[in-house]
Amino acid sequence: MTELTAIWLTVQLAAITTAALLMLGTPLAWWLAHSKSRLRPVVEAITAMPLVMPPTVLGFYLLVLFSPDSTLGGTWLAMTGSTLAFSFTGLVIASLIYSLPFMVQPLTAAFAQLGRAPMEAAATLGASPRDAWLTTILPMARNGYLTAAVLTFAHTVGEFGIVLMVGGNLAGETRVISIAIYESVETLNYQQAHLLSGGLMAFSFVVLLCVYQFNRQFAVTLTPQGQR
Amino acid sequence: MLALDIQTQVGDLSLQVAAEIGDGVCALFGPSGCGKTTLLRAIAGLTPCNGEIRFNQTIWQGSNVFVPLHERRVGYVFQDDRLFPHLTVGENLSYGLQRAAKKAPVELPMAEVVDRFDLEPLQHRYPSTLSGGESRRVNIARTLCSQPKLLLLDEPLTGLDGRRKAEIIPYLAAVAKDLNIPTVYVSHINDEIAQLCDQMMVMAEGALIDHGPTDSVLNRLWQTQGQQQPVGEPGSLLNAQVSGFDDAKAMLHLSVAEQALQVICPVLPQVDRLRLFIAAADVAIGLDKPSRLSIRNALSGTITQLRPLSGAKFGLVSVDIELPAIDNPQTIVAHISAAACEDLGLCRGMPVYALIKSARIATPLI
Repeated sequence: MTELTAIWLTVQLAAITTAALLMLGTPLAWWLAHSKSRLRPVVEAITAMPLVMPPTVLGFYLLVLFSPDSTLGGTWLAMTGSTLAFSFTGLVIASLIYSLPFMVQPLTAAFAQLGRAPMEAAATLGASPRDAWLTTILPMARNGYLTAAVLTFAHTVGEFGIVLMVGGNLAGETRVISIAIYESVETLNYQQAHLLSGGLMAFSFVVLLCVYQFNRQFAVTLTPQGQR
Repeated sequence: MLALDIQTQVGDLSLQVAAEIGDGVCALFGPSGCGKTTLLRAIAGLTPCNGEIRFNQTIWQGSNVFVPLHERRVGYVFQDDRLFPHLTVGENLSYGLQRAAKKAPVELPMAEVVDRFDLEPLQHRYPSTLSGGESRRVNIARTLCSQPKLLLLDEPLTGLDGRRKAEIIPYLAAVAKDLNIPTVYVSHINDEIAQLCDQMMVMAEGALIDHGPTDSVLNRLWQTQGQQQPVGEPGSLLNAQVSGFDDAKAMLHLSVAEQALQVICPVLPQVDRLRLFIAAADVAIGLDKPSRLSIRNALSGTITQLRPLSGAKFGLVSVDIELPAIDNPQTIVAHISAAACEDLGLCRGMPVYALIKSARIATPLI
């Protein structure tokens, strides 16, 4: 039963994080792909930092930020009556930050590869920028979106260090699968650890298999009669 | 009418153009890198520039006005292939049409364009399965389907074979004329320009160096470009009237400045007047009317100018021969060797014959 709670919590966390990052990552990736601003390398570096920093560092600073003594943590406590640290909301905020590069980098690459050409062509055909983006860039970048969403989801499911620092281990609130596995091993409950670890491995394999299968079908449908 | 007075800087190129482009088809000519594409992009609003752009009564760009490009209704055929890969040919064609139809009644139905560009068999294919020539046709057709008010064509016919060009050029000319769509046409090919364009602009290093009626601009092209690497083949544009057609021999009989000229042409063109571009290197000069010679065209005229050429053309003399006619005298340019010029003793005012092989005159497309 506790495993099921942990699995459900993990799925919720990963789904919310992926959905929110699709919204936040799209404009950021578009800006990174097309901006000529001198600030771009700075923003690029900040976006990529979660990739190279130890999760404990990020977790530590987030914990400090979430504490009721800080402005953010204090305001949150005053507004909602609960703390950000060791809460599901705090976990979502932490996930948004540490999974950001997994969303932004594939999208930036996809947008940069497409360039401005489709937008320009669509504009000369009478499409407003919004219309042009939705009808050309979005469908043309769909492989980039798929990769970004899957990587973000999978990485959120798999993260451990920051979750432990920021969320702790509260059943039904912050105990996600990776924490549950850690706890099982700590308490020498190897059977439960096997169950969760094996399940996570199988899940990752199936998801990736689906992605690669979809990518292949996608490539095939684009060239039906091909160069026969 | 399109009125421009714009400046912009793109990389090393500094563009400064002030011009009024009237209705009809206007050729834009010049060496690569001289700013032709930048000028088209600035007109469309794709490349930012300073100054003013006015189209008919509408100010597209001014001191505090900027009409966004999707509201300018500019049909732009890009040099590279810009078809949408995730849409079929049919969906690509209707992309612009659907958006235009929301704003104004459709003047150029898609069915007609599909028919004229022979696209029916391609309708359900995806762009990645098209050949280069097929993509070009779909690109041009898609632009026409978007009901443009101004056409900007950046070397639209590159990669098409002669037969396809012969089908598309007359149609483009007819559409531009019938629907009264002013057109700017970037091309390096004198034949295309001669047959399609009423006006011609010549650019060099970001500036406009000549602009006027096609025949006069084309005829002085070699001089206006000066000492910098001139582009294009030197030659002259002749206005001809169709006077007859010999089906069996595929020979089109024309009249140029009241003299007969014969051209190979597989079918009788549907017009009674046409323009021919004749390269200067294809014209020989005779003192007498030739006999016992395969050359069929001998136009009699008077030498008005002799000019020795330099650079890559050193050793050649450019000879202008005026073909007299009461209403419309025309000039034909010949490039002959300096040695031949000396042997024949050519000089200004001398009556001569301009000799042109029928086979050397490009088949009229219109």
